[in-house]
Amino acid sequence: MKKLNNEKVYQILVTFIIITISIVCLFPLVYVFMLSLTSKSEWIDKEGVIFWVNNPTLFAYKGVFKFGGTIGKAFVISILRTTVGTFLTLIITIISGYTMSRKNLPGRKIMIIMIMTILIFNGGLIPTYLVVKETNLLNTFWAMIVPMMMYGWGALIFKQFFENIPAEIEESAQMDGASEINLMMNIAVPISAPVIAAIGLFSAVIHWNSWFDAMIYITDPRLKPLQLVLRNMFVDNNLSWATGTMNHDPSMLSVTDESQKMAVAIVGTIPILMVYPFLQKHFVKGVYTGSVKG
Amino acid sequence: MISDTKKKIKRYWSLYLLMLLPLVILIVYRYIPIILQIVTAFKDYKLMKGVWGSPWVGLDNFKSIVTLPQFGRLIKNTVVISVLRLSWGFWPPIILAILLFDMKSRWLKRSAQTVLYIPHFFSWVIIFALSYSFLSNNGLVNSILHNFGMDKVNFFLSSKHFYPIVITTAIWKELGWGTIIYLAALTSIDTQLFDAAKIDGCGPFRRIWHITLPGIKSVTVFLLTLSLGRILSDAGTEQILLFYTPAVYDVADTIGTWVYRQGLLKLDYSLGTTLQFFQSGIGLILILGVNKIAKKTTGVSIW
Amino acid sequence: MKKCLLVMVLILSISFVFASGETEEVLTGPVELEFMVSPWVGQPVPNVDNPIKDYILDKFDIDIKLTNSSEFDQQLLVRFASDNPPNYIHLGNKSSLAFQLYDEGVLLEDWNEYKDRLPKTMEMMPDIAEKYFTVDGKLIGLALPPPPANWSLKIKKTWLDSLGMEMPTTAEELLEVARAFTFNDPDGNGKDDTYAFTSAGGGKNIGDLIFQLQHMWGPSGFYIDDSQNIQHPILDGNHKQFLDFVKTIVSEGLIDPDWYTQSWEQHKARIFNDKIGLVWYPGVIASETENATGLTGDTIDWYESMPMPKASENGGKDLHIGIYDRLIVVSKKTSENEREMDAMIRFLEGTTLGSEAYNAIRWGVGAFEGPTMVDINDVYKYSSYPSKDTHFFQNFKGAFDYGKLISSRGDHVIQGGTQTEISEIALKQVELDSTTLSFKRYSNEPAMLSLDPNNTSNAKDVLDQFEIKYILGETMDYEAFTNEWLASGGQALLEEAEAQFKKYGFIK
Repeated sequence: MKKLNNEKVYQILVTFIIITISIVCLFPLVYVFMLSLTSKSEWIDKEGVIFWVNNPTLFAYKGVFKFGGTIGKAFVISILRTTVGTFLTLIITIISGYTMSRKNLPGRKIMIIMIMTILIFNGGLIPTYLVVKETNLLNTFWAMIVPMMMYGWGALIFKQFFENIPAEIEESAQMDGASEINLMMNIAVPISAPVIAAIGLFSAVIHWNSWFDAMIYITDPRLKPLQLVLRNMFVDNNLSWATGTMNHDPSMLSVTDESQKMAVAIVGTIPILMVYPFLQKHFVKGVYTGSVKG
Repeated sequence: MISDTKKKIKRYWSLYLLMLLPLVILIVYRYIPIILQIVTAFKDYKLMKGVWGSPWVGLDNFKSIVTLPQFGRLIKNTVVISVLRLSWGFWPPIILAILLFDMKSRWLKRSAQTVLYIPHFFSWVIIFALSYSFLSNNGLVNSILHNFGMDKVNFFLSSKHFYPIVITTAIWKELGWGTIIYLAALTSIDTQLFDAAKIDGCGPFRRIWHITLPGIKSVTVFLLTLSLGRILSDAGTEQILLFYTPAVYDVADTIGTWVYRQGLLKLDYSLGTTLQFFQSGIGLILILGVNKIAKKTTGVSIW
Repeated sequence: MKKCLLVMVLILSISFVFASGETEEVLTGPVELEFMVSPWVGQPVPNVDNPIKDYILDKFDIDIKLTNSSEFDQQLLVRFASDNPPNYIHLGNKSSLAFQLYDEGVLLEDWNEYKDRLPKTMEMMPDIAEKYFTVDGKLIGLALPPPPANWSLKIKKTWLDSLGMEMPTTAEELLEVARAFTFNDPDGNGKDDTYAFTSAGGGKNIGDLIFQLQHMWGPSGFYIDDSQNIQHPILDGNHKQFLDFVKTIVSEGLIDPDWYTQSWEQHKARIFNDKIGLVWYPGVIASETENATGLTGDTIDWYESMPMPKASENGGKDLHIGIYDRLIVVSKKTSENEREMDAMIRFLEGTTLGSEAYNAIRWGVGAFEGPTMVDINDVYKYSSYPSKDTHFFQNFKGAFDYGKLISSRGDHVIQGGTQTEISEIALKQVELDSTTLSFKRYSNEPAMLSLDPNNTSNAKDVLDQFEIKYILGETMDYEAFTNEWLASGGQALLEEAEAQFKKYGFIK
């Protein structure tokens, strides 16, 4: 009886903590969203401190879609980049992780050290640019993908997980005559679905949010991803120029730069926020259900 | 012995073949730039001459940084902030992940998960704007203080508030996101163990201590090692640049922020490179050391 | 598995469509030139359906490529480092970059060689700027005359009137007015919610308004005093008196409490809300305030331009004028290619202030349907568009950034909106700006200085830290600060400035 109560108390505690933290984590979204709907007059009235909007306006969003006229195309590029990039990155990291997890593979230690080193040293702006240029990737779609394919952190995480696969599972497969590749594809990979989901998600988010590489490597306006287009709106201190506020027409502008920037942030973030729910199932249940018996 | 190795290579031939592409990408896109960068740290980089044509200056670049009067302060702040981040920020995601994992209510679990990641996705500029609206003179906190008859506090100009503000916002931003990898690890623990614990009548804390925590030990040690290795590398320059003011430079100015200000007036490539190399070099030594310690104490290590 | 592979192949083939390769150099037809600028807007500009691009192609036979990314410095570095520089680089006022690039040998070295082919361009460049940008007898870049000085103190005339006070002319009078502004309810709304001063330090420094107030005592940087010696406010006592003044206004509560931490945008809220008595702004404040308050016309008469009050014998003048506006440099590679150089010269000569191409590219006037420009008086002009659809900046891709390439504020154009008649607001803006032009200013020898960036940065760090601490009362030791400032680069800067003044002949 005592032990059951413990569990109940624990559950109440857990629920309480999680709800509190969730509310706190919702703040940025609420704040950004509210600010993006704030009209100029309300912002001035409240002297810039907005947590609730009385007279919302969608003007800032109109500004985003009109002014970044290229948003539709940039969106497509981002989606393409994220899916292709994540897919290829996963392949590379899974292969690397698996190879490094084979404890008696000659050369394993060197590989591990090499991959770990790239987590600490990062190459710098000019050298990476020169390499991209010399390999003819400049101003191509692939410049946004290939340099990122070796996601070192992901590879090492995979290694960690593959190493933890119970030896019995592997041994029984080997006794059935499985080759190394079979082992990897039919045993290790399916078992690590949660990890694949995690690393895939990380990689997707990195790709989605990247703008610096596109800015440096790509000059063709048709290849610019969404975050780059949005970022220019975001950092620019002269948004008023962009939306033509220096004019005397009341219908032309009714939001401040701050609101405009917040609308930009929402547009850039919501798509990727919506990816997670699809991956949730991998983080909910246990995968090992004692599959090795005799 | 040699024939032994040969046998192993033979066994894994398919893996070696598959590794060709990853290795090529690793070397071309990661190692070559690193080598170029290391070389540049010892040269006086000239645009026209490129990395190989520029003159060698040996340790001059390093000397010019280490002999700066502010150097001591910059290092101190960088280390202090990194250590604070690590010691306060490392374990909350773990705890939260365990709580989420243990949570019974499925719908609450799922909804919480969708919400917890939100701060991670907003850039520091936005998080700062949010913090500003809380902490400015007109902001929420000061309004409350004022209502209770207390003096308003100039949070951004106060040295003693800097660390708490920066660390708290940093933790909060990555708390939810940090749970993902631990959740993945938790779902890999053999469910039979949990079933057995239930039958034995294990309470939650015993269960966590004996099953949950050991189950994620290797991932935890791995991530801790990596984080320790990056202590000098990134005290969160982007965040600090937004939150600091000259009034708090003595506790807030780090290597990263100092380099940033230096670079505002000129195109100085050498300085940034040298510093990066310096930070990375120390980081490598740290990781090697920590890995050794981890191996001895927990049996888990990166290699 | 098979499905996966199929999808991959499909994606890969679509992606190849996007891969653009290298192009061969073409020797006939329009010349391809790349123009790089730190943008006003920064949106990627498409190469098709782009009327301004077409105009330039038509007029100059140039296929213009605009590189307008926001990380200007990084882009510049990477392009030069990979030996693939842009042709035309708009450096704005970053003259130190020009000198640095010249030192590295990557720029067109001497514009004097092209003097006879660029008569109008050369005529536009002030002599003093030419002197400044000449290194070893070589002219390293092209500059425009300094922009008309339109930033100045703007004081709330309506508040002065309601309090029955006059525009202050000394620091003492300013304090009196400031106290009245803060405590005597000048806007008559019965609430104690007004401040005399505000600033927008952005968390980095004391902000423009406060910085400018030190001109009440004397110049704000290195200068030459009456006995032909080099001086600096930190060394001659002016800076300390200024800090004491700021300390007073902060401790008495005469300034908006967020003055140090708020950004430029944030400080506008209180300004537009009629809470602030004194601001540092150009004449466009009339326009911005009206826009922010619903274009009622009520705020047009709020401000008057105010000259710097006097606090000491040699003080009371406004900041000196600069010596140039925007510097253009061209890469060495371009100068070695005759075809490209010819095109560049065509462009430069054809887009000088007052030319048809200038008005077309900068304001859309004359070449595209809709935008119009009328004279307000013999100096100022007013540009506007009859309807939303013809709004130049909203509808033409890249309008702002193409315009920035050639823009000079000396064109004295007031940007209007969709009202083609000259509005009251525009007239007020003209009045505020014209008044500002008449203010007395310090002489501008200091603008000729080009000092070491590292020392400047380090000395500035020391200054920024001390100023706020002193103002907040956390430290009182001005002497220790002076020594630290000198040791952290101040002394080196002093010597460097003296040497440069001597070189120019300002000091014997």
